[in-house]
Amino acid sequence: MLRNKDGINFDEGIPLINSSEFENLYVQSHQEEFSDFLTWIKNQITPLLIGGQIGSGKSTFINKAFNDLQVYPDFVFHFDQDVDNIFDDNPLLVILKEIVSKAISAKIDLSFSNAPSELTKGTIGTWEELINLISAKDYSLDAYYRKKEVAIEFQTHHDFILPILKEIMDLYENKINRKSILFASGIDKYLSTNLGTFFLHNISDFLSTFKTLFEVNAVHIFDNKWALKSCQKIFLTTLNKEQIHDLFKKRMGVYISSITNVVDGLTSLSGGNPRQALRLLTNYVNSKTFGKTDSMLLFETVRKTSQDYFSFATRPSADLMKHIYKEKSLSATTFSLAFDKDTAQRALYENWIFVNGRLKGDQWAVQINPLISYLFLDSYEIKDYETQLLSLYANNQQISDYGLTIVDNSDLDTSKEVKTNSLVQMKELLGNAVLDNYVFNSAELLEMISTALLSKDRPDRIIISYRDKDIINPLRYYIFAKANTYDYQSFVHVELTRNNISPLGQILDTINKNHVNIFSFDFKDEFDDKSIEAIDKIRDILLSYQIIWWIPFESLKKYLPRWSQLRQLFQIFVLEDELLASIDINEVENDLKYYSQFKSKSNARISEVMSNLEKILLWMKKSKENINE
Amino acid sequence: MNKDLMMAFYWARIIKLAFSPLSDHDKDTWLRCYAFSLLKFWGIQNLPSKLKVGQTIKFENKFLNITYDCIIENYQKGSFSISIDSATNNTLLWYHDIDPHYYHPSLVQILPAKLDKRWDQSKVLQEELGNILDGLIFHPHAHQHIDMHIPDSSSADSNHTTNHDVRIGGGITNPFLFLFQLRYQFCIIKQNREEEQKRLLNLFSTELNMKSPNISAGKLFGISR
Repeated sequence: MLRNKDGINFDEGIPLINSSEFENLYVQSHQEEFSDFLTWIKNQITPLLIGGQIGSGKSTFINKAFNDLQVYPDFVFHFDQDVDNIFDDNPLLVILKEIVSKAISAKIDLSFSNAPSELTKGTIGTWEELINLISAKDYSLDAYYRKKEVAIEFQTHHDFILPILKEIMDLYENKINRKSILFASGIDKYLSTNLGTFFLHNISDFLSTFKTLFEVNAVHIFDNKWALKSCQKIFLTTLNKEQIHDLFKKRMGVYISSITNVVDGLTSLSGGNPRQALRLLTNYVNSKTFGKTDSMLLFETVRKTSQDYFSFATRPSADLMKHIYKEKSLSATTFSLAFDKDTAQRALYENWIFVNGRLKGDQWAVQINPLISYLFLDSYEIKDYETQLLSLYANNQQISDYGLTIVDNSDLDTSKEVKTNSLVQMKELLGNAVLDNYVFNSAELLEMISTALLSKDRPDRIIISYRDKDIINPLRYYIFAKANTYDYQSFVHVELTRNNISPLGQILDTINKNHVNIFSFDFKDEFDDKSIEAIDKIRDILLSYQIIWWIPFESLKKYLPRWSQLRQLFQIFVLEDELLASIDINEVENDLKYYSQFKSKSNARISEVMSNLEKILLWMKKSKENINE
Repeated sequence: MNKDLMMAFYWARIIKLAFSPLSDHDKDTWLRCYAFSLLKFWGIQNLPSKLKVGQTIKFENKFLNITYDCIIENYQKGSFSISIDSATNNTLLWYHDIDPHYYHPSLVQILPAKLDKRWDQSKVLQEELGNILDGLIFHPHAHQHIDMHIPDSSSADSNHTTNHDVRIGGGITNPFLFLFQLRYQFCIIKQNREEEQKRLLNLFSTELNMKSPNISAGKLFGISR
């Protein structure tokens, strides 16, 4: 990742990894927990759970400790990145691959077991052959079926395989003469209910007999039903105001003065979640155009961020949210009630609420995510940051916020009516951001989309949602022409269709087979819930790619509630049907004329720009003819 | 030939080598590299999005609330308008017009075509190149200060670029040079400024010693791709 020392570093979603990144961007927080974690790495031998909500900084926290001690896990299991787990729900294959590969590299004698041969009736002779088969990047259908057959055989006989893996681990630890460290990463991408019984019991049981670090979501910390319920736990709660300020300072570098007026607003809207803070900051800066006041920008920022994170998501019950607003706390058991999967547990998993810290016993300090609290509150209850938002709204509407100030129940003068009407309007405006009516003006939107793709040093990921499918091709030509303004950027565009291979398979296959700068996928067909949910798990695989997803509007409404993880990574743009009208035909002609001067230079960038400009021009001329007819 | 004359000779030579793209293609490449280099040099993540090649070019630094629009016709003629956003409305700071129809002494015409061989040119170059580049780019002799969203000299520590460190050169008659010094002056990351000074000193020293006929835009902007 390209970092700007002392400059702007917004790359949200990407955990910090190396010393230079920690030196420049790491925000000191959770010091007691950090010290506990260092002690665990150095001295302890039992398993440990590190948990936190989406965007709480778990991966960075973990990376920082390993980096400080210059000690790294011996075995890493990526349950969210290994396709065997994602496609076939086969976590056993993930740990088998990692353990056996490392044992082979360490020259451990594995001749005590003939499991590969026994389970495949002699088709596979040795452990090395087994690893070669299950790790090979062969995407032929034949290889797929051979691998699948072996995988099913091993999973069926997990009672036979797990003790063998235990023996391999013991041999490995004897060889290195210490306890090895295992890291089970990516469990945080699964709700407990989706982890599967096999993982929750057999795999967790197996891993918990070693010094294993489990990276989990907050919901797993509160889960009292799985094998790891009694393990040592570290819970990363929200950051305080000073720490969020520090985060902004570090991410803005020398430009921090330019957000002085909005730092407090952005901080309170972040709710103490570092990734939400960064998304707010990014959207604030992206919305920034000359002539807009800070309050207008902040208002737009709230709308865009609400849309990115919460549009079409299933809301938790209003009763739960009102309870949290009133009590500002919840009991830990509330998060693990069997019948509660759609309320407290989901609210926690999807960041509708934030856990700020432990109170007494099983009571935890909880707040409604400030970004969307207006959705759940009556006007009389709105205080604190809502006051601020109201004021923003007033400024945005170019009316005085005098009289819009929040008044309590005892205030019965006429200002109350003004306030209530304005509140309703504000709630509607902001509410639309999480429903379906939120659009930018066309020119602004085109510019934001194009800007996001201007540099190959910056892996932006965007979802473009459309109602009119005819808009896609011309818009794609336009965007790809713009993306080549400065530098040659190659791209591949793939239509995802319902066939033998799942959409996730088609995406991964395309990424693996093509070395291009921009990947563009059109979710042309509508896919079932299971296929869509599977894509949510690969968030971290997509981190380093520039990606555009084109999704029909009606499908997006169904997909987004299933993409709690992915939507942390993507910016969402909903297109108006008339969007292309904002492209000026004369401008395209002029650009084309300009580039045609250099055609003889046979430059890949210019050829790409010209080819796309020609296509969009042709489309525009045809549309014009159709209108005239 | 005296030392001042020699310095003037190199001054003019640098302008010819780096800031005088002749063909439309060279001009396009120069501007594209210019825009692209801002990302890393200014330490920002949004490239100027309103670059429309062949028409008005707009460079925007959202973090300093500064924008400048340029129309460059050739290396002798151009116009610039520089604006600062005061949050509620755009405030035009000034126009900088370069109009070749009006007299301005041209160093190229005044200076001899070749230098007197009796002078140890490389020695002078090494000693004085820093001063020449200061005058051209880093600290123009005549300049304006503007008030931006950065600390002023009284409140900032020595690690920060202050408003006083930003010096917009006056009287510059080559539009590409004017654009180039704006790029430097609007960079407020001190380390990037210092590294850029060293890089350009090395670049021009090497290219002048090698008697290169021109410096490619890629080299000038340190873009190695």
